[in-house]
Amino acid sequence: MREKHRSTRGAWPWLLFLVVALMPLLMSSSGINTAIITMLFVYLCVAWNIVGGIAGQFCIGHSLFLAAGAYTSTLLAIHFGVTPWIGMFAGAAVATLIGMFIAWLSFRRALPPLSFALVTLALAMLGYLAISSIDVLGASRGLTLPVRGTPAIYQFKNDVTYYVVILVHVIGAVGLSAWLYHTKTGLYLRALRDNERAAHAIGVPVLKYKMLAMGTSAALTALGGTFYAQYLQYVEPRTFASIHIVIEIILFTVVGGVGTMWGPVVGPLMLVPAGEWLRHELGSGLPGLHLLAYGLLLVIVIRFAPDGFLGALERGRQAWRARRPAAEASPQ
Amino acid sequence: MPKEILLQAAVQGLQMGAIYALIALSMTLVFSVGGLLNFAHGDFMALAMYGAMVDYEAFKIDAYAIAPIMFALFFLLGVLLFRRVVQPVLAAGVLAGAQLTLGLVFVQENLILVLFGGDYVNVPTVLSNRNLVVPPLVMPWPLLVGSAFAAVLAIALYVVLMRTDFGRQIRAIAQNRDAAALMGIRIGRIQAIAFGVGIGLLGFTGPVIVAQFTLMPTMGLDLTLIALIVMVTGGLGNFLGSMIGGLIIGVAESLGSLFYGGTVGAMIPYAILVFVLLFRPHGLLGEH
Repeated sequence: MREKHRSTRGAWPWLLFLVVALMPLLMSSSGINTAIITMLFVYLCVAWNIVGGIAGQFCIGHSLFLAAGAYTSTLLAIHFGVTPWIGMFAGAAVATLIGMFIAWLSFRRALPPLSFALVTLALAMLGYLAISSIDVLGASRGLTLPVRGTPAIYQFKNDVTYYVVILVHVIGAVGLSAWLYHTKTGLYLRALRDNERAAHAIGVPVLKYKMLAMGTSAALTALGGTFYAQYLQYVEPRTFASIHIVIEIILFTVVGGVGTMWGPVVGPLMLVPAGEWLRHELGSGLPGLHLLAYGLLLVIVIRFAPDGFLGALERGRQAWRARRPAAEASPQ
Repeated sequence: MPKEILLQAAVQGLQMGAIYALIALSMTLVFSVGGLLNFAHGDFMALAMYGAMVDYEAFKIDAYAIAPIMFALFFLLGVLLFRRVVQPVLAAGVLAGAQLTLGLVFVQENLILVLFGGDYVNVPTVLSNRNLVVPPLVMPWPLLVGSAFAAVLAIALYVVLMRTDFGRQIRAIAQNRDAAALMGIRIGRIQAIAFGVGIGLLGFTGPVIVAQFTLMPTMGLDLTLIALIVMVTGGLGNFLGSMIGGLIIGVAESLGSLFYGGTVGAMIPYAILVFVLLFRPHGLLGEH
């Protein structure tokens, strides 16, 4: 497969991203909540993209990992007084185990790609139904975190601090995916995506790299889960474990450009603020109107740019390049 | 546990199973011609059910009478949607198509929310709250009629697929698209009609089974998931498998809720899906 997106190297996307990312720090306090949710989704999309985009495994089960992170750290904090700074890694470990187990299971049974999507979807639904009915996990009511508001237990008085924390997460995740793109590991993962049989034939250890991609993605997502729980100061199944959040993660990534390095960053950066703006403009009218407009926007983007915003940008650039020499060569 | 209750649950499960089978069959129809996994399938049916509600409130026409008109409307909607939206995206790949339908889920759920609000709704029909008593069984008429319609339609669709030229063309495209095109089959046209029939069947089924359901905006995704489970259990793309899978899932769900209560009962179809995928990844009737 032709390498379509050359913009993974170079410093200018990083600079652009940092400029955009630092803007909310100058804004009024009302905008910071939108900025936090935006960055959270950037983070979750970058994490999903490692397995869903780079390795091409269409996983619909990421709500499991988000919930694993959120519930593990919250339960540890409530019952054992463990600070979420440690609990988040316990959550990541749980999510990694689940993710690697799913990858191992579907590899052992040699599941075709669409079936992999369905197995993860079914496991996510099972997880949602289980969490909603188990009392220790708060069932459908969820759990509320004790509020003390000290940084030692991952709680901050100022929302700006939360923003900085999630921004650090994002930079770490994008850095990791940049590293994946530029090393042999990333090359192996993309070989899996493009042609698994050929990859296997030339000696790529398929199972090992599938488990690696799934484990990494799951761990990152779980860390995001802990952050989200600490930010909201509660966990409940509809927010953390339902399929809807996975659908949003996938759609944002698709709109940005699946499998590209900056696509999952660009998608949520454009769409989450757009969604908030629509909520602000239309939310006072009929319930759901802003979400309808939002959904239509998503469908229109996918209709006209199935390879995402970055894909459309690259196509535009190539078309422009192809036209220019022709214009120069034409007689005066 | 008394035998009567068990029998009652099994019969009810079979009846729900017939409805599941029809939804899965129309989804298989959509899947087989383009490889499109339509995550918005159940939402079309939800839309049809809300259509029946509007019709009842505005004109007081019974849901059963409106079903053929809904079939025509949804057929046109399906063809239009396929030609204008789905087909161009499908050209970019099967995954892009699946992602597009995820977007359609979002649109339809919220369209329903905007138009009809988020409250639970029941649509009364002539058959509501009536039971057929055949000792020892007590069967609600709406479910009986709904499942009878579903069974007849499923069998009719199966016969059309297996015995008519239209059906052969659909199966030819599913088996080998390029060869089918070389044999003179107009791929785009057949695909559009198949998509239209698939969506049209949902338009028909929605009103016919509306009395059996409590309507809410998010019900579509649940229906889609059940249909997916049925499809995979029977074998992805296998028409006979979808029919048998529907009955299996219907009975398993019904007996599961009887033995273990509602939540575990709701979990059983998903557990079956996981087991089938792990131990018979190509479904009960799927080919390797």
